[in-house]
Amino acid sequence: MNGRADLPSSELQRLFSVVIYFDESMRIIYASDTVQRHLPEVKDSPVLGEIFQVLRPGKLETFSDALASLESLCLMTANNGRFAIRGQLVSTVYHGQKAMCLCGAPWLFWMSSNCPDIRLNLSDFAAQDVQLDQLFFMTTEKRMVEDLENLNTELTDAKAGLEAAHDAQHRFFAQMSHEMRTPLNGLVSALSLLEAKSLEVRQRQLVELAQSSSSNLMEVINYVLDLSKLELAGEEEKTVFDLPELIRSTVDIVDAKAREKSLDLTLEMDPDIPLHCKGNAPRLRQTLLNLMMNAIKFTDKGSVTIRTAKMDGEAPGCILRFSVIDTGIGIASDIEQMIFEPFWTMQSEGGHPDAGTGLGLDIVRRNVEHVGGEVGLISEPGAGTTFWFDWPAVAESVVTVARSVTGPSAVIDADTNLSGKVLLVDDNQTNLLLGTMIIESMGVEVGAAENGAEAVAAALREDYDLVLMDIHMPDFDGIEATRRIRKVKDEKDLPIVALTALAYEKEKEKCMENGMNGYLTKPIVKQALAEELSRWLSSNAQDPVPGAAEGHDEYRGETPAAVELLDQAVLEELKLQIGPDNLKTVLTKVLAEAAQRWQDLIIAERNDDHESIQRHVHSLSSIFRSVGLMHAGDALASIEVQLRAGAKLDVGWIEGLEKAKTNSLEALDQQLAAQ
Amino acid sequence: MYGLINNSLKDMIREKFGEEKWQEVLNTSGVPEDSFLTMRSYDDALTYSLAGAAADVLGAPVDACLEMFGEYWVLETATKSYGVLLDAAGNDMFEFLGNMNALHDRITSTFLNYVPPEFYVEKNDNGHQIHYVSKRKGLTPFVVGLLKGLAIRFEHTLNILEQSEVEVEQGTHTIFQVELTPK
Repeated sequence: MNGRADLPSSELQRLFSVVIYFDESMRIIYASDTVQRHLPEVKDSPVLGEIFQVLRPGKLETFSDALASLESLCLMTANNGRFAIRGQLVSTVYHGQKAMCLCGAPWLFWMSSNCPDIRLNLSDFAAQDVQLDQLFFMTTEKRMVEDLENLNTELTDAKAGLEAAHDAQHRFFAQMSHEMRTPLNGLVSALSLLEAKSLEVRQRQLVELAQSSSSNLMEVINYVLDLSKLELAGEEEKTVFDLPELIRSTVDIVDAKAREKSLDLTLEMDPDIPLHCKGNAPRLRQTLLNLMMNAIKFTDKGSVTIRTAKMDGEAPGCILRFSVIDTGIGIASDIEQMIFEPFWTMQSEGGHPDAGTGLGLDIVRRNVEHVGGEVGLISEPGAGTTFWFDWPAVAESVVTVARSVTGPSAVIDADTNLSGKVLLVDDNQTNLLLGTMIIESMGVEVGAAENGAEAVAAALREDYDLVLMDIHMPDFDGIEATRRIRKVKDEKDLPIVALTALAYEKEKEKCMENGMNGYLTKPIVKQALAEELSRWLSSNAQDPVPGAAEGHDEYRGETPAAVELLDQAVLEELKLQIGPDNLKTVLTKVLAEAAQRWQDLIIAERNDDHESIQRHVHSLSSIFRSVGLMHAGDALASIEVQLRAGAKLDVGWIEGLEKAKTNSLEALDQQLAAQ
Repeated sequence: MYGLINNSLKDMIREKFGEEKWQEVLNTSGVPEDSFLTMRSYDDALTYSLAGAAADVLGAPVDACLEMFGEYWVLETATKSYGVLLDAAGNDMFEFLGNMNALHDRITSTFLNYVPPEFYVEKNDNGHQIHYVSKRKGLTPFVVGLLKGLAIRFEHTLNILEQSEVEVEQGTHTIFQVELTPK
């Protein structure tokens, strides 16, 4: 390489740190200081292609290629990998001969990536070169992204913190509400007792005021509690429940109120609604109940109709439309939007003197929205109101729990006479007594065991033809007892049939898997029992047992249409099965055992002893249902299902049951007196 | 000033004194934002408020806080985020200071409305004079921190012999008479 650049090249060097001239043979004839510093070999005037690999333009092998690429960006990397150029070609003359000039700068991004150890100086870039600016910009952009990511993290953390605080607050409210309920319950009870005393007019007024205030306070506390639970609810607690039964039992609750006001209370149930649903039964019940209570409160004459219908929806899901239609005072159109707001009452509009706390409809709205449904109303002042809500539901297939309504008793073979020896296992003394009587009425000898251990001992010690095994018992259950028996006696030696109040497929499968041979649901129904016993015991049909049911045929064929407090048909059925004297004995036993079990349940609930709660609820449900106290029995069964599913119970569930229990036992007591 | 500066101040207080102190500084300053976006321009008053609050909370003079911040700026923020640019700006402190204006020119093309300071270095009999000229007031202690940070970066011994203010219509013109020698 020889000679110096003319004026243009020195001027060019001020504008471009990289300036390279090459001639028509592609030989380098001039290189600027920056190029020489990084690639000293250029001083030997090499051909361009000997020291550079050209990335852009696509082809730069000849001078003609260069002439054709004047508009292109030129990107070249040194073959030794230690330098790269970013620039553009200019056709020019160098010392009187045609030449090409490459003007540019070090290719910053390539060098930063491929040879970061080589330090480039500001002087390697002309002032107008934007590469350093771009680097600065990119670095700053990266920081911006980091800023935003950090902000996002901070916001996410703050949100999580707020949610945790929110939950803690609602837990606190829930706990406080729960704690407040206990003394308030005491207050309400004391006021009720006081009311019964002979009081002066003024005293009575004050007691009534205190009662009304405490009742409102209780409602507010329940509301706060309910709200807290709704806010806390993560995954919806879902259990399988008997939908028609839920609706009927809810209607039953308000039945007395309707009667008090001489209102016609009608239930119109679409036969297409699913028999069993999976969902939040307590919320549905609460929603229905609140609407019904409201309807009755604001209706002085006429009727309240509860209508249920199945709307569209893909199986197994569907929408249930509930309508509560009253002929009450109605709601003016201008306040329709307000009535779902909390604490809004008709009283605040100068309307109804007994308007309550104004929380019932807010709870309805929240419940319905919580499950993704809709709620609305149609009303005509003076003519009545229809509140409706759509409740998304999922139908569930469940083995039907054998109800006490057994159909015409004529189909039961009262003369069934079998021979053999059966071990009846049940931790519930009423069931044991009742079962023993029914089985004995068929001519079968009965041995009894009250728990799993006794059952195993008896089954192995004595020679039984069949074991009827309760499943849910304390210590070890019927399944465990069966496992232990099966270690010694196989199915041919001793068949075992499960007896349980909860009749779900899974439980049935579990029984069978563990060596049981049959499955019966409680309460014990003679027909089903007779059929099951006939499978395992020999028959003495020609030798009927003396008629325990003599003289009671007048009740045959009666089937109750709906669940009542005390299902007379069940009692009559029992009377047929075990005779009137035995029935008296059973009912006396039921009253005593139910009272005791109830006390045990209260204690377990106070101690928060879930296992005992579940056991006592199970026993009580079983006791009640066995003698036809279906309302209380079913309510308890519903609680039991929730307990088994691990669902949280509504606070106050036990108080809710207490009334049903008390009324049921009173009805039974009256029945016993009439026997 | 750009969020970059505020973020750097925040980082410094969190790193050196902990999150609680930063929250205290923030509360004392009355600045509503807790986070700053690097490329967003914030009112200068916000930065001054933070610096003043830091002095209150840390129980140190504002000048000392600004000086500490200047040093942190060079050694942490600029080095971590703009290392390549700092490297390009010089192999020693004099070269770096000589290129500082060119560097600020480039930053001005990215950070629009950025009003950078200017630096000039003159050699005299007592060593070097570094001129700091800015449209802003009150940031001279920050520049002291910058110079100390640069001395650490380039492994020089810096001795500020004299610091004098030149009267200007607006802003600041400070002359540092320094003795600067490689270690």
